[in-house]
Amino acid sequence: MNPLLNTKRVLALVPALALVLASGVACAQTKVLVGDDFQGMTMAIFAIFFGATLFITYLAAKRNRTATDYYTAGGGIGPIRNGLAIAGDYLSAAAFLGVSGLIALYGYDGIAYLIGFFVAFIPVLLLVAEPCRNLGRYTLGDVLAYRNSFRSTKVAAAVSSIIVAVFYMVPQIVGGAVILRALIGIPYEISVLAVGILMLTYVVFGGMRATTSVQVIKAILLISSCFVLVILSWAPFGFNVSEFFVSLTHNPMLQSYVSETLLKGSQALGMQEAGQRFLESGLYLKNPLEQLSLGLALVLGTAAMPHILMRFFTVPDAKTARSSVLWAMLAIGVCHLLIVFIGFAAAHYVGAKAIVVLDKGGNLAAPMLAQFLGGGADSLVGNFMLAFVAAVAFATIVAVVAGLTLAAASALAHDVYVGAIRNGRATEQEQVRAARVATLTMAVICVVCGILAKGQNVAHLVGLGYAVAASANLPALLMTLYWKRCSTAGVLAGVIGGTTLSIVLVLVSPNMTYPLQQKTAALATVAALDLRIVDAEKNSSGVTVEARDKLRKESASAAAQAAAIADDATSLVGLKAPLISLRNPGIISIPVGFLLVFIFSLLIADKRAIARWEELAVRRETGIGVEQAVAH
Amino acid sequence: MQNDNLSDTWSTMYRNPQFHAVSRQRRRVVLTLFIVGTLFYFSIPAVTTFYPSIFHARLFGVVNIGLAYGLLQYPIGGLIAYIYAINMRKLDLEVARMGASPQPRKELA
Repeated sequence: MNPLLNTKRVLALVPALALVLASGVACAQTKVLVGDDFQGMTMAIFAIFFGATLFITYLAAKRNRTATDYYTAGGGIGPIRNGLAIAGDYLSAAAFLGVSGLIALYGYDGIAYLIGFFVAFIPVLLLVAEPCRNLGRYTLGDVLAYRNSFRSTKVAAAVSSIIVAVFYMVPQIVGGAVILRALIGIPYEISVLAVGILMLTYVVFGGMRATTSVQVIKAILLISSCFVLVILSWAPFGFNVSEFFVSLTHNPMLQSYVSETLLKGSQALGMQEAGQRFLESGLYLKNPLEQLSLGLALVLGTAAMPHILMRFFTVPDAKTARSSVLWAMLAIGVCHLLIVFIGFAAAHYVGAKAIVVLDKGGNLAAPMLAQFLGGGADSLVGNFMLAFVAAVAFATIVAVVAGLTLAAASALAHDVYVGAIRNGRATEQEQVRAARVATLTMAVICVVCGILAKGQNVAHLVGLGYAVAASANLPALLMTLYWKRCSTAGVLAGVIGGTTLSIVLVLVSPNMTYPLQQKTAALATVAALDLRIVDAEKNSSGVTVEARDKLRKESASAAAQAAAIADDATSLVGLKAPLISLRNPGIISIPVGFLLVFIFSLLIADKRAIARWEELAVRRETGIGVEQAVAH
Repeated sequence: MQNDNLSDTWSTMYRNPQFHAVSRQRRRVVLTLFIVGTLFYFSIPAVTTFYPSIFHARLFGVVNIGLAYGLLQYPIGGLIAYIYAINMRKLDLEVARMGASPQPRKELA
């Protein structure tokens, strides 16, 4: 491709993007965290960030020639760079903003949730990183098709990889757009479009090279920002962690929040005990089975996430794949520990009550802490730090979405088009063109899904993405790699059955909206409010007229909400109530996924799969015949 | 498609006792570390469900066992990764001694 043409195309997108974002700010009407006086500075920081990443994309675009360049950056990435890129691919907005918020609102349980995302790298390191490097070229489908039927396995693996990528991508985009609107007032649709345009630019023009650079930069910026926030949080305590926690649990703001808001006065705790309760479990994760199910999905799903697997095809050999997981674990571990302390610092300095005013899920805890530590809402430094953290959060979303898009596009172009439709026969030019068209298709899908999901609660899709990966992709991958009798029928049954079961279980779970339950809840609210109104009328001296009017309005609003729901209203799949109580299907769907591969492999044997077992085992263990990385 | 000669080569290597020794050793290390990591991780929900009071006991200042145990997952994860890397380095040498260089083979352009 002509580099000059690329330059023009990439640079032409800079003013387009600036225009999109600026028009977003111009029509912003909602109340935002960044003050009016500092909007210009915020936009400048965003512009510098993305100008730099687009320049990197331009440099990468000049070097992209072949499909190998596009999908795996030529396969010559070193361990530290790939490790940081894995961290950049993996550390999502859900971890940085979501979990720091969970810790700020619920204390210990936020940590219990976060740990799973780190422990997940143990199976990645032990079970999949090296064999995938030794046996695959660009995708999960390559590894599965090594000994199983080429076309059918590739299509099944591609479909489940795309489903996982979309499930994981939509909440990232929705979450990012909601946060940007709250921070700097960019309307939802504009923000989704900005994520789409940026990600598309990186991936279409720069392929894996640019995506890797963006992920590395994002990982370094994210860890550095977290580090600065923790240092500033600890400085007043002379970097004495114990002192910090003593001060946190003695904080009257936190004590009253725990006892009144979280425990609703249900436990007779002294103020000191209420503060200490914040460092104990049970304020957020209340159902052990649910915790186990989500934990299983997180720990096992990561090892079969297409965007994580794809990173192992960018290194020259298994040793480098191993080292890159070690570097990734170091970067992710350090970042997680910093996020834990950011969460507690936000609870201490900003306070949960102030955080939930701006976002019920607590997603703005880290940016609010940055603003506070920099000097507060009216200070230049405070707003600079807020803008910086917001830009890092936005970069986090774009980098993760870029990785997912590239993984989904490779499944679509390499597995479905080149593999299944062209039976592996396509020229380099055709492959690169297919990859670009697939990337564009995925970008359009993700922007459309993002816009359609406006106002929907899509947070559970993250857990579902992990559950599909753990129930469909992982059993097929592990049994293809490690079980001699695994056959094509087993792999297909596992992938199709695991994916379908996970989705069906979520469709009949409490994650869906059940109108009749909402109606019952609204009627219960009306009854409770009416009792309070009667009490207030009896004891008129203790309650003001305004307070009584407010109660009446709330009661009328709840009654109207109940009346608006028909008596026979059902959920999306026609249910009046959920069939199962689990929100995450992992504990059912993961064992079923493994069982399906096992049973169908025994029932329908596959001569080719058995015949290629010895070759697979030798190559898996020794790395002989691994595709030669292009020397750069 | 593999030709018969190549197929025989894979078969010969697969039947090499040294290869089996390496394969067995790798399986032993991987399974042990996987089980240790999994048990350690799921011990958190197990304790918070069945014996929550263990985690409430104070360790130093207001920091309790639960908090320290939770954060200990990170160094333990690091230790598991380190032990794995050390063991694999030894196995890399074994593979090299088998005469099957794990280095990537040059592919024809």
